[in-house]
Amino acid sequence: MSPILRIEGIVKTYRGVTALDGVTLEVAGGSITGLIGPNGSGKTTLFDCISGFQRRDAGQAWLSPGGPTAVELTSLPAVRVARAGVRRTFQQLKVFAGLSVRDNLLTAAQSGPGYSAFEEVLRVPQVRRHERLMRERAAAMLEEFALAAHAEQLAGTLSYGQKKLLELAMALMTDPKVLLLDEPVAGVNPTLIEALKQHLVRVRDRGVTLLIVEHNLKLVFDLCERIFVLDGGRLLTSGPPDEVAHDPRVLEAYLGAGARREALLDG
Amino acid sequence: MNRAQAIPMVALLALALPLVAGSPYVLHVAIMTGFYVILAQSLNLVLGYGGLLSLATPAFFGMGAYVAAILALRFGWDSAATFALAALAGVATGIAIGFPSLRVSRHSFVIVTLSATLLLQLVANNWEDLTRGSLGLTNLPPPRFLGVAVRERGEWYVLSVVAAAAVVLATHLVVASRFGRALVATRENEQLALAAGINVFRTRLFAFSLSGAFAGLAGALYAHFITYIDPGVFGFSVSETLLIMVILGGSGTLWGPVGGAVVFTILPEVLRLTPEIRSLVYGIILLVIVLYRPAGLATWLGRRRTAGAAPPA
Repeated sequence: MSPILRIEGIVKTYRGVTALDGVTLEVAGGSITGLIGPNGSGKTTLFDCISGFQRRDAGQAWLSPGGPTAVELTSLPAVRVARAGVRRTFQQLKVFAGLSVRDNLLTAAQSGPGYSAFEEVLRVPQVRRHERLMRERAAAMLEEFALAAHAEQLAGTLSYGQKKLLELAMALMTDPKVLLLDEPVAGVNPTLIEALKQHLVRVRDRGVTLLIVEHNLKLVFDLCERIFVLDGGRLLTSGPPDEVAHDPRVLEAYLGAGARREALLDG
Repeated sequence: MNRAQAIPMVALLALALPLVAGSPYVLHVAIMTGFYVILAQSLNLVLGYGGLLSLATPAFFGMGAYVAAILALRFGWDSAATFALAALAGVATGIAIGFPSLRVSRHSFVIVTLSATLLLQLVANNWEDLTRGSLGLTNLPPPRFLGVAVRERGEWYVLSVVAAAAVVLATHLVVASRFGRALVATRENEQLALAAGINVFRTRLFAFSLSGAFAGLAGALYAHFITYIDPGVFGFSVSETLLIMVILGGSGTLWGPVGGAVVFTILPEVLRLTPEIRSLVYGIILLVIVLYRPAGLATWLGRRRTAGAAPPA
């Protein structure tokens, strides 16, 4: 598979503290790729730099590198990154609490074709057509993510697990090329983790590339075709799950020297 | 007759009342109510739907008033043109204030909008060649739309109601559109809105400019109706009154601020009956509403709020 995302030498420092120290990695198109590492290793900072929420000090991130539609992401503001087809979720779960579940989905589709505020307010035919399309889309998403019964409920009143599902559904409204998921199953019960896992596989099968930051290593080792391990802002190692899981350096980074491998998967 | 039919019927009757039973004084209050509905909706767009505490509404209002007054007095232009230009002056002021202030934090936004408004008041006070400073501009002629003058109070009342209705309708069209949903999204969660590909800055700037257009129009109406304006139109007390109308009416709803404008334009007039304890009674009424209807009078109607949660403090 050719890479859909190539991250080259990203450096980010905050007030002298180096959060990312030249991270380079490639994500294969159509894959589920994991990004793991202990707390403070720079995973979320890397997401922030790719998605336009932080300015990196050096380095680049290319979407569809080498191709005719290649886009350099780190120089774009967050809005443009989203419109280029790279969507993200947040470690701190975010939904539009005061909007209905359905409106959350519709709002997430706002970035489709960029209409002007005037066109939107005056509801020109293209806007109406797009809106109709997105309403059908939202209805399908509500079914797929078992949220149809809650469509008109304010999103703030959903349970935590339902919000997690909504968050994922929102990110999918516009057919992104790459989805950056920051801890998609954090704080979720085991039954829902299984459900989310199946959702993620289905999303991948639909052609969306997933890059997942997650502390639930069992999920990462189960799902991901390739895993990158960050430690202290540098790439420690990478490879298929089997290899990474047996790499003593990974164990050491997570749990300190002398720890046993089973402890990693229990945690 | 069910409730959905009853409300418009009662509203229509109420609208006709000042024309039928109106003393000049009652009509005067009714006309001013229309202006306040427009101003309240102007603030509601930014505060209620956009979640931004703007103190710039008097800036838009004052600019509209001065632009309309100066054009009418100096050039005698038709009001169709001067009112449009007054609204445009509001838009221009919205862009001029919004461009720097909407990029800063929400707290700084409050301060910048207040400062900009006070700055305009200073200009109005000191650019005497144009504004006659604190003497103000006097003897504004009745507005004349394509040759048709509005002189009588009854005519003014119709103009006020039509203008207020047009603004409420425009607000409805805006907030019920895709754009309105995006605006509420920026209020609910700025970061998530960005991640969803919504241009937060541009969305807010558009809402702020539209708020400017509404208030600019109200300024032109007010200037011609009172026939006199001075730099007081930029005063902070305008913001104060509007905040009471919008927040206690029901911020982020279409009809709440309309109700707020009606109640809080009429209430101070009614309280003139008891001049000694007027302020006290007004204060108590505000407190009771804040305590029992913190989300606004609109919640008395028992309808689902059009756009959810209360605005941030």
